[in-house]
Amino acid sequence: MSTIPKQVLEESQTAGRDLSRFRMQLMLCSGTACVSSGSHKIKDALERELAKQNLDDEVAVVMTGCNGFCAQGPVMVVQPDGIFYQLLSDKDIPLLVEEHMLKGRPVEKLMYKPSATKTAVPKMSEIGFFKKQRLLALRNRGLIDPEKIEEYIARDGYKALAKVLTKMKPEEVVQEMIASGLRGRGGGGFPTGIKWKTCRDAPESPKYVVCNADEGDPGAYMDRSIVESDPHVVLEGMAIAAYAVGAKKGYVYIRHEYPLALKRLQKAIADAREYGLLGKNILDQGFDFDISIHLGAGAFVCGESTALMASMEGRVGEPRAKYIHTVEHGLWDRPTNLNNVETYANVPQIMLRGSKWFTSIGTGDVSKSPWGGSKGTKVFSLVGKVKNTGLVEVPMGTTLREIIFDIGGGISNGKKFKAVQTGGPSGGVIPESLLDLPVDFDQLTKVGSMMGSGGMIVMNEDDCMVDIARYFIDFLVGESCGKCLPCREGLRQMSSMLNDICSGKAEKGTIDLLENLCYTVRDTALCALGRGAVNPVLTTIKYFREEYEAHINKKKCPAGVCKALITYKIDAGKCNGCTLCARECPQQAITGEKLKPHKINTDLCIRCGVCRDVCNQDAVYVK
Amino acid sequence: MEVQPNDVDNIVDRWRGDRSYLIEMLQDVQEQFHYIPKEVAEKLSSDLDVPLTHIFHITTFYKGFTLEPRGKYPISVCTGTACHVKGGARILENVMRELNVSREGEATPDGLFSVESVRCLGCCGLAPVVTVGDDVYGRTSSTKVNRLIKRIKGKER
Repeated sequence: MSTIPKQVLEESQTAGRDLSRFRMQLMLCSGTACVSSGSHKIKDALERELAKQNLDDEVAVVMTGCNGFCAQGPVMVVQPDGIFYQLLSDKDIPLLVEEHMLKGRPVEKLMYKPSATKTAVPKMSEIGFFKKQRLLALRNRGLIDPEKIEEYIARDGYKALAKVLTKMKPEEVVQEMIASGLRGRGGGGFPTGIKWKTCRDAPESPKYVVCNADEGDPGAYMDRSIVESDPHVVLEGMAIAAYAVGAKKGYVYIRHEYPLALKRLQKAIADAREYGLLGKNILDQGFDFDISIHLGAGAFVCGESTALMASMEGRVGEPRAKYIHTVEHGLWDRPTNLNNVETYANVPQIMLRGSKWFTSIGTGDVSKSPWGGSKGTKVFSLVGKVKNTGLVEVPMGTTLREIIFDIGGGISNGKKFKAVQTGGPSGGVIPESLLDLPVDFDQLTKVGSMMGSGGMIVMNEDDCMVDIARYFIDFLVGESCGKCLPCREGLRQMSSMLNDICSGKAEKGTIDLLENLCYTVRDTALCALGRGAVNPVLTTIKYFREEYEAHINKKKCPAGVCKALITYKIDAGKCNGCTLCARECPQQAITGEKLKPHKINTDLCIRCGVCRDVCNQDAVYVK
Repeated sequence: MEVQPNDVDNIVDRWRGDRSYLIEMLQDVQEQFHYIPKEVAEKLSSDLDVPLTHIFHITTFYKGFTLEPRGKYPISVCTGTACHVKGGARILENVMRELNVSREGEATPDGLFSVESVRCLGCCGLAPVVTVGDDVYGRTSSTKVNRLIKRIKGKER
């Protein structure tokens, strides 16, 4: 394997990308969401039209990683001016190329229009969704082609690794990391620097570094997005960690559900090897480090460190008690440093710009201990009943209100905000009264939720909080590894109680019983899966107790979700008799003459909700 | 797909017969046959000298493995949180009713379809999401999926 000399690396870093020879660059998103909305078709159409107009020497089409504004996909940003186009279809392309690329007149009808003003916002940086974001982990998103290492290098890529290898001792790297106050972005929030130090100080060898890309939290997809849009930043972060702790071998444990991320990661590793940025004698500094990929086989519990390592060793992913730390006895019983994708993505910038710069962003004071605050930014997947769904990165300490209403644009379809769920199945539900909470590790824990990996699911008045609690518990019943009794049996009993409540069969006193069981599971389960499982239940009881009581005492589901407690009705005043619902109803339970209000036969109705989905008049309602 | 005598040998050889790569071998089997055929599990057990119970322990623990053949068009309905609040569970019920299957993973008698829920495909911005094979359908609904099924049935007729 050849090593590229240092000055070649430096030259390519200052030379800038070869894309600059183009007058215009069309940065077309090829994240999973935009691909499923048809971005490859757009690419073909763009290339065809550009060739037709003889613009293919002047205008480049670049497939980037996830842009973040997934709700509006397929999206494209025209550089250097930063003009943002959305909801593209291949039919729009001839007009777009002729008007904007040929005649220089941006096309207003393809731009973003906020629902409040309806006036087009041409520049990406002016759009509310992007304005309040601050990109560190996602700094290259939409700006580079993730499959080209040269473009990463041109944006200061691998410069931090070069700096660390040539100018810093491993101990200094560890100290810098502790000083930065960076805490684990996978959910636990453990200070990364302390983890590195413990691993470095562990006497055994060899040591390993592992990247946890087994993003299992339903509703969270930031790690996938980072790997898809900027895979090299993860490799560079891992290489720096390896140098700091004294490891020569690294592994990425990635979900098999993420084929595109896997492909980009494989390409990135191969390219980095070719450039001598992985392998033997990296940058001629005598440092050896290489990375292999380990494909997960599909088990939520494998996001837990000891289960993940068991799985890598070819066993079932059952956690063990953590009084023996994996940083000392991890993979194959050797000291193993495990960090999550987003954590590694923060490392190069911290090394390049220094811990002082990093600590200027975020909350608290970490000068005495990294536990003193939450520094830097956090990526959230802002999804659910919010207008602008997508990935957002904000400084720690940004309030929930700013994230949901300023960036997210508020609740969709004119509905009312009810709650936001953070932290995945181990997190909790946060009500409206706490919307001004500054989001950081400690504040979220204080209100009974947690940071988790950064899922933020927004819910409106149509979401039933008991159903949400049941949803998470049922998820975890299926994912519990079954090793310890509190989780295996406790969650099952909790599920049965919650299902009773949702189906109107629960008796008075069930809430207290449920709460008591929660405390027992929380105090006795072996790993974080079981201990955290109680949070969705406890927070929904704490903040929405009246909803539980309505299910039990009045046999009503106020939000109109729980099937056993609702009936579907048609509002005769709104129904225009279009017959659509009657045709779609799988039970033939809807009758009525054409152009006259229809009726639902409640005895036949199975409450599948199809009529409500298809009605254009919003005439179907739930009681 | 029929199991050929040297299929298992090829997979075992790829991992140098090292039983610590059992999960990887099973992933290859799943990739090739879209499920873990019983005879393959038995052959792996004897070739690698691993108890069959251990192979079943692994194949039933991880969601990536299935022990029965899927349909030609495997339908996955995402029931991650974002999809849940947008009606993912209702879509799953509707698809199962439409295909007349009583449990997840079961193939239709004509072998065309099977349906199961998956926990978060990571396209939360497009919820609710359904995949058919490798194709992702975002912002979908029961009615749209039913139409898709009809289209596929028409194509296969």
